[in-house]
Amino acid sequence: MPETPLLSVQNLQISFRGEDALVPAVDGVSFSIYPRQTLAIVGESGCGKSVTAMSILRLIPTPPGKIIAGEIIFNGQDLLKLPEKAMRRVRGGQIAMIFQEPMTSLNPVMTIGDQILEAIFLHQRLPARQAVKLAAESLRQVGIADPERRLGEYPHQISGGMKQRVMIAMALACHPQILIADEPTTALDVTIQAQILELLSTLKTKNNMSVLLITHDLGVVAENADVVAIMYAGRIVEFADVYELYANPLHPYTRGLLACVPRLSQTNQRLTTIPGMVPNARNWPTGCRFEPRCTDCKDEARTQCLSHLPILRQINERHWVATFSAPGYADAKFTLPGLPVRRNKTPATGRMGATD
Amino acid sequence: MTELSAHPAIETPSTAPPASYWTLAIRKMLRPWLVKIFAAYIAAVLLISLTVPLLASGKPYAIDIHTGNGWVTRYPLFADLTTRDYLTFIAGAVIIGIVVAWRLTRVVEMMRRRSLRLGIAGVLIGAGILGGSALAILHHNRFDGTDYRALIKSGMAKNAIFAPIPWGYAEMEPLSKNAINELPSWHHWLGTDRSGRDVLARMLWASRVAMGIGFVSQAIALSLGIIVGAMMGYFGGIFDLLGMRLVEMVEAIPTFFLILTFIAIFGRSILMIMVILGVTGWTGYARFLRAEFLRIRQLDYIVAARATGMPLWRIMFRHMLPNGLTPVLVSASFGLAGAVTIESSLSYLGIGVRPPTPSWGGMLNAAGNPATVFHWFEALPPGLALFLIVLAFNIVGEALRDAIDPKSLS
Repeated sequence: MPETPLLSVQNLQISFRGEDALVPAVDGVSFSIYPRQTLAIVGESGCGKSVTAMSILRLIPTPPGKIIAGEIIFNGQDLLKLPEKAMRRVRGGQIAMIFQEPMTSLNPVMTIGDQILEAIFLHQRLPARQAVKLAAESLRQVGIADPERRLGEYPHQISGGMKQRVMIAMALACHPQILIADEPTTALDVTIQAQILELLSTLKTKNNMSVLLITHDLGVVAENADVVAIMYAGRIVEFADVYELYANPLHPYTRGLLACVPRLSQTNQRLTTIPGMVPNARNWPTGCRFEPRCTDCKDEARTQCLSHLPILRQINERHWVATFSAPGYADAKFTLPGLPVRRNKTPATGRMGATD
Repeated sequence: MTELSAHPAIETPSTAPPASYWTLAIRKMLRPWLVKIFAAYIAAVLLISLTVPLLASGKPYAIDIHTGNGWVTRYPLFADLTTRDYLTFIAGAVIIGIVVAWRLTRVVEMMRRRSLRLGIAGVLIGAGILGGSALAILHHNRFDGTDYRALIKSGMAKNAIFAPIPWGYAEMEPLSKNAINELPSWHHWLGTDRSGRDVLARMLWASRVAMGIGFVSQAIALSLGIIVGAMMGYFGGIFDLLGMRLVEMVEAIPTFFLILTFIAIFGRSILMIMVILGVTGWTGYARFLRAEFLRIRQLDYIVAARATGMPLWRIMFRHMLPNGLTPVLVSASFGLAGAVTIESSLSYLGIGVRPPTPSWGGMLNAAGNPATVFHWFEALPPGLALFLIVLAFNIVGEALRDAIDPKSLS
């Protein structure tokens, strides 16, 4: 029996109110996550990856944000149409989220225990004693020593890496089906990063949950993701399972990103860069948004790139891409990106990037 | 004294409960000895204002009186207390009880602590309400015009236990004794005023008016300011626009003249003054809290709280308010000083509380009355008390502001 996606986002469009016009941040994003899978959304700052993640839990401040179109289907219901009260049950209960800045993600005037207990009581009816036990247990699960004592401490008494562990403990205390991790390691130093990611993947297996990992670090992706979506200027430009993507990157942007990753085997000192700048969201080009920086589109192919925006099409079983230069793109059709695959071993392309 | 560090856990043994942000701030605030003294002064005045009916009264706590059936023990002071006095005691006892229970339960393990605290608070408040309403129904205080000192002198009473200051605020020495404008003595520690009333007793009773007006009016103002400010800051948009216009409108009202007008129309009433001060005094608090909420609402832990599915009211009042309250409390201590000043100004003008109820402003007025001889011992105590309490509120407010200044909290 084919698996059904746990969460699917379809044609999501989000804009923010600028000074005089609506500025699109996310422009027609579609993807799906299957159970027990890690989907990584990769892109540079401002490409809309965090906005996409936040919109799943409807955490975009409105105004200035506005969801123009799209559906976010979770367990058969459209989260964007859910009443606020039902939405609150989803938040934290079925879909949990951890954030980029562990230093400021805990309330400074409440003890860690009070904050975890609060999260537990929001979604579970438990006697107090059992809830404390659960809170301590979830702290132990994320590798915090002496959890009973930590429960009574305040956030200023623990380190940044420990705070991120507490955030994860809090997110997992109610056994969510999906954990959205919005750049969970960006603010941490490299050794702690590795520990936290290791912890996330252990807990993912243990708790049978899916992870939506937002990151800009391809090294992190190679080590942790099953499926990767590359975002550029508000759109997904490439979607593939992690082996396929690293072995056979089709979009020129993806190739550029992979070329940027420093390799231990390389001897030259300068890192490769992608020339040019991300276009301003206020006036995206009418054609392909990567065209000004693209190395693929030259000569006669360029007219099409300038006038038509390539949509994401499935060019083979495990690969979706949005570029005219990809082989077989012209005959491919749009389908909802999503791959019910799971990693069972470290890919050959792993152990690369700056996080090693 | 040990230096406060950013990581108190390193210093404190693991058995001690870790210090919360508030504990740290208050400890830091109280560090200078000057602030300690003034904070103690405020606490003392507050305590006196709550217990003054027991401290200064012409009626003895207990006395044996000779009646037709022999000697009978009576308790005139307690019989003479009004229902309002008793209710004040009960309220004070409940509040102090909750504070003490809060401090004592700090060492209790966390989850039991929460239920224990809620339980104690519930029991105390319940007992307070029950006792208070029972009292309000059952207690009738009769007017007791007996002069117990005369009774003792005539031998009709004995074994009297008087209050530390055995004078009521309106109790005059008999005209025959010609004890008006007496200098301080063992008999009257601060002398007597031009009507032969004990100045110290009046001083203590006057603290009740000052503290009452200060705290009640600022409690009203704080409640209004917190609600309006929180709404403006959290929701923004149209709430903010309309709320700020309301703030500007209320700020344009000259409070002092409004009170004068109301007194001219409705007569003098201390309750009315409290309400007017409260209803016009919330704007500063609302502004402060609005600014704080605008800042706090975009902080990560608020977004994180929303991501756990927390209801709105809980985010606003359990997560945002405690983080945004400190500047409001700083401003509240200045607000207290302001309310005390306004009350004494009104009383000085002779339109505050109704005589013979004493108030520091009224006593100053009486002392400075050009129709009588000026006596320093009548003017100095109320003037000094007023000066010190306003100074104390300002110094404590300043210290709190410095203590919560992030640049100094380390």
